[in-house]
Amino acid sequence: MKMGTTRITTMQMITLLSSTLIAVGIFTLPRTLAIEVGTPDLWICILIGGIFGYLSALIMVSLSLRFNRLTFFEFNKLIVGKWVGTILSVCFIGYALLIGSFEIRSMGELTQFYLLEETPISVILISMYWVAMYLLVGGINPIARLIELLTPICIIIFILVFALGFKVFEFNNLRPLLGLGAAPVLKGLTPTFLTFSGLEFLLVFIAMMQNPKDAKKVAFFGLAIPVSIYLFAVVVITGGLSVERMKHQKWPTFALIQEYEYEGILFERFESLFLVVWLIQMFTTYVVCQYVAAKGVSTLTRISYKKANYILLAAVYIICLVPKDLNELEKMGTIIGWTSFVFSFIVPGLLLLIALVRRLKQDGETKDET
Amino acid sequence: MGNILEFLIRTDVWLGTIVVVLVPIGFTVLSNKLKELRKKTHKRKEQHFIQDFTLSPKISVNVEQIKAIVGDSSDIIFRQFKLGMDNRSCSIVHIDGLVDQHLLQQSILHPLLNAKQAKSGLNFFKTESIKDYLLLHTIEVSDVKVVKETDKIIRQLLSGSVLLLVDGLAEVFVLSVKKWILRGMEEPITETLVRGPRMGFIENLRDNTAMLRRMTSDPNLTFEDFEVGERTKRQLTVTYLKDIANEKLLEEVKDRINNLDIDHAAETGYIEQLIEDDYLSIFPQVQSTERPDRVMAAILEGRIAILLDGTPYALIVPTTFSMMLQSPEDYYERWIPMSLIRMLRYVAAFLSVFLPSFYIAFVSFHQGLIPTDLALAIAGTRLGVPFPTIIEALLMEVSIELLREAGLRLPRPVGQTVGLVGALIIGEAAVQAGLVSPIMVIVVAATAIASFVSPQYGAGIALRVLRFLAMFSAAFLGLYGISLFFLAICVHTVKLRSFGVPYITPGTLYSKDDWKDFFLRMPLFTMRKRPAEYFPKDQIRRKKY
Repeated sequence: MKMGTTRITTMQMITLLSSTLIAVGIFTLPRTLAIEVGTPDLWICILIGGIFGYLSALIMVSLSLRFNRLTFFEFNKLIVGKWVGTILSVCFIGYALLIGSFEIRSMGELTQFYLLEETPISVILISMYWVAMYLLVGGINPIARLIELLTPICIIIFILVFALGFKVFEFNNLRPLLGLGAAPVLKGLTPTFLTFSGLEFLLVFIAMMQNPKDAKKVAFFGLAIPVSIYLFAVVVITGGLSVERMKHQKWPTFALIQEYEYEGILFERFESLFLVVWLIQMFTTYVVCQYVAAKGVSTLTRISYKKANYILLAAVYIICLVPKDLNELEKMGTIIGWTSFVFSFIVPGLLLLIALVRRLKQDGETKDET
Repeated sequence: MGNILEFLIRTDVWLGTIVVVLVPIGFTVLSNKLKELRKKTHKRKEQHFIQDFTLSPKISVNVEQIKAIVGDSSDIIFRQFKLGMDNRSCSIVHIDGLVDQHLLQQSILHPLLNAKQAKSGLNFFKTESIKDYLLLHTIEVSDVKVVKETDKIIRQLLSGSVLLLVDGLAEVFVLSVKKWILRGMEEPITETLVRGPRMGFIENLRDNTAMLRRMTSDPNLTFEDFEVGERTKRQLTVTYLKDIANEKLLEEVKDRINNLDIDHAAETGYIEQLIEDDYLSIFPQVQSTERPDRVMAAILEGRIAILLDGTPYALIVPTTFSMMLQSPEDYYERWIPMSLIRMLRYVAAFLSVFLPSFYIAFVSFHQGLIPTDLALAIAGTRLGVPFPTIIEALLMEVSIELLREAGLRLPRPVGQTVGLVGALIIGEAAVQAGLVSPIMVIVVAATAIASFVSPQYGAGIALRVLRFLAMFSAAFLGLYGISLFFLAICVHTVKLRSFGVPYITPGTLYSKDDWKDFFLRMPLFTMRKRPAEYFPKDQIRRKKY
């Protein structure tokens, strides 16, 4: 027996979207941005990236609302026909798997580096996959509830750890504003897109919302939370470390936390503590990715959602072992960034255009979510 | 391309893939199998433990029939007599010890033996009017039933009613003058409060319902009776407020109780285990309590209570995790201290699960994480300890659990001594012998104290079990293991439901009304609405602030 709704509430959707966007980016974004931009204007990139993200989210929302209660995997066939639609869906599934395995692999690398130096990475990965699997077989409702439960905890810890960073904050590190003009800022947009990859999952999740009319609100707050978190992090890191040092650090976030030392408190190294909490965020991002992929597979084929999960688990595990080292992992990240651009702007934009021209609009049947 | 091909023939990758997929599949199959076990119904003929017979107008036949069924038990008393001035033979059957002897003499036997012909001249002693005569003029007991069904008659006899058989009538009078030895009402020892009513349920169901009825004059308070136990037929009462409790929930509760398949329910614990949602879960999904005030508060929130005859423990459904850390006292005392105390309980619950595992993780994996001085101090005290931390921690934890269990079973004065002496001497001796480090003893003691804070015994045991699992995961994967274990618990609790309500509410139900009574206990005037998590029919508690 279930009481209440079996769909995702607006609040759950906001936390789900924001915690999909908040993930390993908090560790990788500052360095890549510093290398690409080279001036203290990093934070402007994130703001602009956020605005672009919101624009693309609006496209997706209006596309999804045209096809009420239909997911991306179902309505793309209606717009571009069966064959192209299937190809799009398969690419989308592959893309979701790519993000998922990227997150888990990065998590594994970080954990191995900071917490468990002697443990083989496969052990770290496999144990995480098992916990994720336990969650995934339950369907979307437990996933939404878990994220709703844990996101506030993560945000509180994040604010705590970064607010402590104001001890080494120097405002001069943030100046000059636009010293080299706007050109460097534009270069920083690509890594920002990688960070906001996962926004495309709106195309799937809006169909499962209790009130799809709130989708714009979801897009706004779901983006505002990660944007402000990244903004806060990047400002504090730039202020604490300066751009030059950020370029040379492997993980600037950890470097910042190491920079300030509060001795005599229960913990001495906050970076590991922060990592332990942030594992949860990477975990949730992975879970959402795999859910989308499994949902896609079960929509396209006759394989049930649960079985699709097991098959995709094997795929994700193999994909996440493909990059040999951190450099290759970073390359994988760049690929994801570009694919994200395709799926968040080009594909929904074109689909919306075709739908508008052909005046397509259709409602799906109302059914309970798994 | 070559790289990828090379990668694809690596055996460790394939081995890992097989492991990562097969283990969850195995677990799913296993848990599905286990869950099916419970659902499997054993079809069998409905058993009749009481032989049916038909009542005849002849009293001697009826008495013989009853004798044949209840056997030759020494506590069953058959008393034959002649009715008043008539010569009609009557018989009284009752069970010695379950009947108020005084009342039986005074209100039943005496009027019957002295029954007189009324002045009107009608002959009441004729067979057709004898029933009315006895009911209207003679029997001085208020609860009288005239019953024809024989199995009902026998059940009533065995549960303490007096049977009156009259010659010429194919019916039996069932008179209720029950009285048996009862414990007096005491404050429940497992749920003592500093402030609050000193009342606890007792073993008699009627007295328990009376206690609830005494607390309110609301006509919506409903007691619905069920019989559980195929052989023993115990009375079970479902209690709710009819204009508050959600119908769907009520229906579900009744449905599960009707589907109970057991021959004897000795305690509500049986009922709890048979109606709970997931028997594989470690968390209690039904709350049990001995306090009438707690039951009353729960049904006023729209929850449903289940009382069983013969036990002072009532069940309350649905139950969520936050309830395990709440006490009625939270509402009886002022809100600021009680909010802080409630938060303390959450911290204590966290510590009682994770403290030893943090010790293990820090000492065996991440010495660099704690302040250098502390790390050195711990390393110094651990110098002579021959075991790895996990063994050290297990040693101490298991002995603490042993002491606790031993203290519980022994007679009370001895139990206390064992607890004190055991804790002091074993701890001290273990440190002196160099088996464990003194800091380990502190950790274990702090954990034990923290685990006593939980106001519910059932929740306490669940957390105790989780502690050991947390210790193992810390021993294998350090802080990462603890983090994963925490995630796994969270995953389990978000998947768990208790009678349709997610176990983790209100943690996931972002309604500001329900958060008022979650980590904090906000002042009473703010709690204007009933908790939305049980979907009550009447949501408003009070009209005005």
